Amino acid sequence: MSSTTRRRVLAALAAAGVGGVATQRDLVGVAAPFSGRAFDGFGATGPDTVENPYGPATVSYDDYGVPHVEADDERALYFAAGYTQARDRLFGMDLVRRQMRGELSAVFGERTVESDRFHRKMDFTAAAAATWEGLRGTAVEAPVRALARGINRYLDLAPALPLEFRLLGYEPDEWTPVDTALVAKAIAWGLTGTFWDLERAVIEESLGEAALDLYPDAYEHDYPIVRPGVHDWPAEEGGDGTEAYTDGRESPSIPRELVDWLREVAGGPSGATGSNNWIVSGEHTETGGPLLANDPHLTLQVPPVWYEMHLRGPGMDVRGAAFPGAPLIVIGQNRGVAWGITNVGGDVLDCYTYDTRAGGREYRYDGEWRPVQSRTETIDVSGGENREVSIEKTVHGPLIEREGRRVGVAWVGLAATREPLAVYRYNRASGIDEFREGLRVFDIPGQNTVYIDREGRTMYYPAAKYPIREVDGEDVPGNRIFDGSAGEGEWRGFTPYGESTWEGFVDFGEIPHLIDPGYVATANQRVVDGYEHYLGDAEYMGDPYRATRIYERLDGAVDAGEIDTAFMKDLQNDRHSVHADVWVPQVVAARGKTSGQAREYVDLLAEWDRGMRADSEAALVYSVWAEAFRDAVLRDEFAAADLDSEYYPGEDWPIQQLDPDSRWFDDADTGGTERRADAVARAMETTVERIETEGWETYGDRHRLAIEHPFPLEFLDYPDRPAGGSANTVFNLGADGATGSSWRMIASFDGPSYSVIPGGNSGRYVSEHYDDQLDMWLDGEYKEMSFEIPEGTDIEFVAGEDAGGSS
Amino acid sequence: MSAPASGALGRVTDAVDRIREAEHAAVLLGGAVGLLAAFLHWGGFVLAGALIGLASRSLTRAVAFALAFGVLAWLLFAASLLRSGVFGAYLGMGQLTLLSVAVPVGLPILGAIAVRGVY
Repeated sequence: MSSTTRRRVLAALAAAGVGGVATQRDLVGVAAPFSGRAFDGFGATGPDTVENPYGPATVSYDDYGVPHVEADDERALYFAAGYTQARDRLFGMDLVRRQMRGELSAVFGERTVESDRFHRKMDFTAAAAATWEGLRGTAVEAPVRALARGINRYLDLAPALPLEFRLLGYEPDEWTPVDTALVAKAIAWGLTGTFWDLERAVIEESLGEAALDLYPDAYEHDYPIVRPGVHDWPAEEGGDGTEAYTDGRESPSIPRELVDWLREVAGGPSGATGSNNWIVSGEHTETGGPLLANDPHLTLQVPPVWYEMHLRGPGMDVRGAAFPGAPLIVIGQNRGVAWGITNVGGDVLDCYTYDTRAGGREYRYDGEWRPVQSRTETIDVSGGENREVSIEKTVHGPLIEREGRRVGVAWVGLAATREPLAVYRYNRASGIDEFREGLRVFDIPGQNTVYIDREGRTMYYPAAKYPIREVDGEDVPGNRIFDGSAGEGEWRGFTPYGESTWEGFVDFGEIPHLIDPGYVATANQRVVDGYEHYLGDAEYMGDPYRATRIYERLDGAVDAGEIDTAFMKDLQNDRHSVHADVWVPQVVAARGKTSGQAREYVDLLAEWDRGMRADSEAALVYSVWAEAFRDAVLRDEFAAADLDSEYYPGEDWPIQQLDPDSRWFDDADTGGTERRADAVARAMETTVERIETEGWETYGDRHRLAIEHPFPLEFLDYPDRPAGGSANTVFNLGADGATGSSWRMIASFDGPSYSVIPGGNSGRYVSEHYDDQLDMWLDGEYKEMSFEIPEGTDIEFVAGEDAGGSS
Repeated sequence: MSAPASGALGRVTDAVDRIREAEHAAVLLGGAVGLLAAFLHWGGFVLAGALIGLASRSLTRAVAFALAFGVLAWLLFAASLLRSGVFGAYLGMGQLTLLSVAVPVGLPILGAIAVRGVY
């Protein structure tokens, strides 16, 4: 080959190389220096001086990237707050509203089409629009409008959009007040949007009614939130909290495909979501002032769910955790009051079936045939074929469909609800009466709200709208499917996508509550024994593990006297497993059925203090065994019914309560009859194999933080870390390493208050506050939640030309 | 040197020869033009390599100049990130970081080789 030929071949190869690069131009276009979208405005945060149509305001960031926002005008304050939220969290805000609108596929393509289909069918956007319409004319209208304008001002002025937008190559729409209402709907849905009624019907049909003993109406335990003999709440006669809610009616057949589809796309609460909070009155504290602790357990994500803010404006000085996209402190403290929340787990979603005709275009209701309201929308799909979706509704709410079976859905959040107004009132409350005015309009999601104030008052109030269902004039539980055509169980005064009058809901004053309790703790356990109305069965409410531990420690500390913030912190970081307290004696009792390494593990557990610490070998053995045992007990029966582990009971408590000779312990795959001890031993053999195969040595080898960004780009995730705790410990981190305490707060009026989030306050990857609290959170450390505004102004808002202009 | 040619091709070849007589200046100019273009589009790195290849007296020199250009371009980019205080974050970006090195270093070399094969 001549030199010229060689050169030409080389040239052809090089040209082919350039051509090859060109085929990857999207990737190259992202990463190329100077012009690459990834580096466009890399690190730029926008101007230091911004015009504010409502007047001056200042933003000063503290050492943890928490913005302290101050203004003399309320609207100027919320405008600045909106600008700041957008600066730090714009992508997360846009993602939430895209999900709720059903517009993810326009950006993410095919993989989110079914999610979009579901969210469009539920028509959350219309519910948010109705909510916003209802909020107009109330005190929260101006803050919501000002926030939206502040967000949009950032969109106008930002030197570059956040990295995520640039990587995906799209620009966000303007923010509107309806989007803020959508954020509220997203939170409410994430905590109450469960289709347990349908799952229960599938389980009952597949496994038989006897299987429902794994799904009791209430867990038998001694630590409801409102404790008999401890708290002053009038219990109804004869109730112990475990009354059978079932009324013997057979559920209609529900296609499993519908439940499986909903699991995949609905995005409601997972089994691991929960929360802790407790308050102690001054009677039991070192300082004589009340104390409050709260840590809500949600999906841990990058950036965190919560955004910490301090807002100081006319008549208000409040600090705490906000949802980006909403102008309010949802959990926090002002100069007079502090409050915290955990999820009640109220059943606020019902399903209905109907008699239909005309190919499903008409349904029978109230003795007549009515047309199904219907319209068609198009889901835009990036890089794929657009899809049409039919949005159908009855008087009760939207219809969802799979395998030709349509089910009507009523969810409290589909009405115009007022929780933004409620939280606005919390933020400005100076005492218990003003705070109750907020609780009165807190419609959804039902929260175990605990309250303390500077005057020493305390309160527990699980405020929300809880529907009362009636069939033939009798109160009935909501954990089954109703005959919509017969008007069974429907909620009086409920208007989906409109203003409700709420007559058929538990009256605010009749919701079980405590005024000035000495101490009270909530960890998603049942609210109270013997209450006259159904609030939700055990699958809605939590197990008693965390509640037991908190109440036991509080009982002890109260007896010893002088509780302080150090105790509150220590309890919030408690890794002791009550789950293990119940099981380990049973494991030890089965020692005789084990041998070799399995027996050594049993001996290890016998000596264990039941602390779920990352460096503990016993905690590793226990966690693997508990999982193996659950599977050993349930898999044979469930697999035979073609139900996967997603259908297992949400909690282990009912398995722990089974008789040692229960049929569930028998392994259907053997000829003999096994009992609990056999299942315990078999699970320990599985544990030995699993630990050996995986090469784990301590709990932290298996149980690790896995807090990820929605993008499949590793550098955006938080660092991996071995972690202690579990879904059942007060220090809360689920087995997935991605569900747990999303915010820890200790509030006091006699000394510093404290807080920490799992990650950082900024969603900007380049920020020093992207993950600066992660190790603190993991190590059980806190930062002070000060009301002092840091020196120096980071963003100065000056009165703009249209200052005082219309919103 | 290229072999004598006639017609339009000959005129182009003559022009290329004249450019190569002032190799260093031409390489610098080609690099500068390509760099400016790279601020608008990644194709600027290919252009830079092509112009450098055109101006270089041999394939080996073309590759060497293109490599030097790529390294300098990346250093310039890195300096801008250092100045903005985000260089540490940039280094942690995994595949994007690697790609952001490969693009300015690799594309000019490909551009230079491709052009040297023609002229």
